[in-house]
Amino acid sequence: MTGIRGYGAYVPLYRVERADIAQQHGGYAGGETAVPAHDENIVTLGVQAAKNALANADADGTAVDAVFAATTSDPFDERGVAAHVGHAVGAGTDLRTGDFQGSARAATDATLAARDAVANDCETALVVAADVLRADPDSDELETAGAGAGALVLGDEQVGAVAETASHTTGYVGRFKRGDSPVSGDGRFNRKNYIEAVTGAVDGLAEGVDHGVFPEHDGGWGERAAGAVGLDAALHSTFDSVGYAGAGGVLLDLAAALDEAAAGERVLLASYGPGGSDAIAVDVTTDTTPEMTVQEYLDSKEYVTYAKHRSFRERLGGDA
Amino acid sequence: MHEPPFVRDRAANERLEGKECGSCGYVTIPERREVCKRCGEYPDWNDVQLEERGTVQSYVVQQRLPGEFETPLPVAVVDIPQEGNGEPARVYGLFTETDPDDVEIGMEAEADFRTMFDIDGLPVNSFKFKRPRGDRL
Ligand SMILES: [Zn+2]
Repeated sequence: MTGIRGYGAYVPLYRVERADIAQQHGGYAGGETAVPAHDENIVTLGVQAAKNALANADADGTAVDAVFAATTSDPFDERGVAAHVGHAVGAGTDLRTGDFQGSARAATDATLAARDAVANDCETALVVAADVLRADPDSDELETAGAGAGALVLGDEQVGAVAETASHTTGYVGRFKRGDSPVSGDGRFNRKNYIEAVTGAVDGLAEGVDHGVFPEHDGGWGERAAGAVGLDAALHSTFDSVGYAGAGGVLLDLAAALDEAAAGERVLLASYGPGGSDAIAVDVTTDTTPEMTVQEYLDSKEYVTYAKHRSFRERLGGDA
Repeated sequence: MHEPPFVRDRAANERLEGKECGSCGYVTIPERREVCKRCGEYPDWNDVQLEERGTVQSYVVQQRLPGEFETPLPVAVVDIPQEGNGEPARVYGLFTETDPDDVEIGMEAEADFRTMFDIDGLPVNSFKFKRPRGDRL
């Protein structure tokens, strides 16, 4: 088994109440959505989560041999995220990197790649997933297009271990997004594909699970997926407070579950995005939380008005 | 490629690595110098790692700045301690996400990795100060 040495998360300070967005655009959704500040982007979010995870792992950046980064909202065709996170944490120039994009499933693609690297000749691998979802002001997605990040340090078994994994690749696209315009593409969430992919991945791993983490593009989907496989576990989701945060949301929600899980318990994580789903069962061996828990990030917040939230999103422009 | 002007200082800008005068202990960041500003010697400069926090020594609140800045913006002189022994580095830095009313001399500020500006849309990230996130709990 590959050990988990530490984990961490990051959620921006600002929130917009979805009711404020609904007032401008119609519709109604409860809850709130995390909005990055004008000077945050996927690299800065990822670096925050990575530093929190390294501190939880009691590791220095120099201990990191590989960085695997996942996002669905990189505005650059060519730049990457992993190398920039590696530099910011001081991982050294002999660092191996991998950038995983194109699907929210990239979060588990990156985690599984890190697991494989650690099983081979890499002592410590840092996995970072960060997203700043963009949305057209007239789209239904505006209310829930969130931002957040999560990170894992794989290597020594300090916090837990990756116990079992399974993948279910359907090849269905479902949600997609073209080029740099948030308008084009189809941001809708395909319920049938979601249930098929997620249940296909978690089906064989549903026994003996204490905590479940399922991606939510919309409220209540974690419960439906858990119900479909008969999973009897506490479910963890930041959807009501953060919104949908793509690959970043997958590791953010995992951190929320690890904050609550006690030693001896099992956490089952599922990802979902264009192409399919991966399931990862984590056995927790030590009771520990990072200095800032996910709940503390959710509680320490400042509301912004609809107008200010728009100006933050516009300023993000291409450099989300 | 626009990176070269920043490459040389990236360890200072992205990781808060300072240079300490081997003669008098003065710490400089992000500038690299040959002559020590304080003792005037040509010392050996030692690499020192600074912590991602500091203490506000003085500040002003900028009311008028170009459009890419949020105003009113606190701008402060902050002493950042080293990891381990040695003098702190004194820097002049921007605040972010902080109401000017929440800034006071002597307060502890967190140093956060943020976008300073961008070049043709490429964000250049370094450190800004803010009211500690944990204070908002
Ligand atoms: Zn000197």
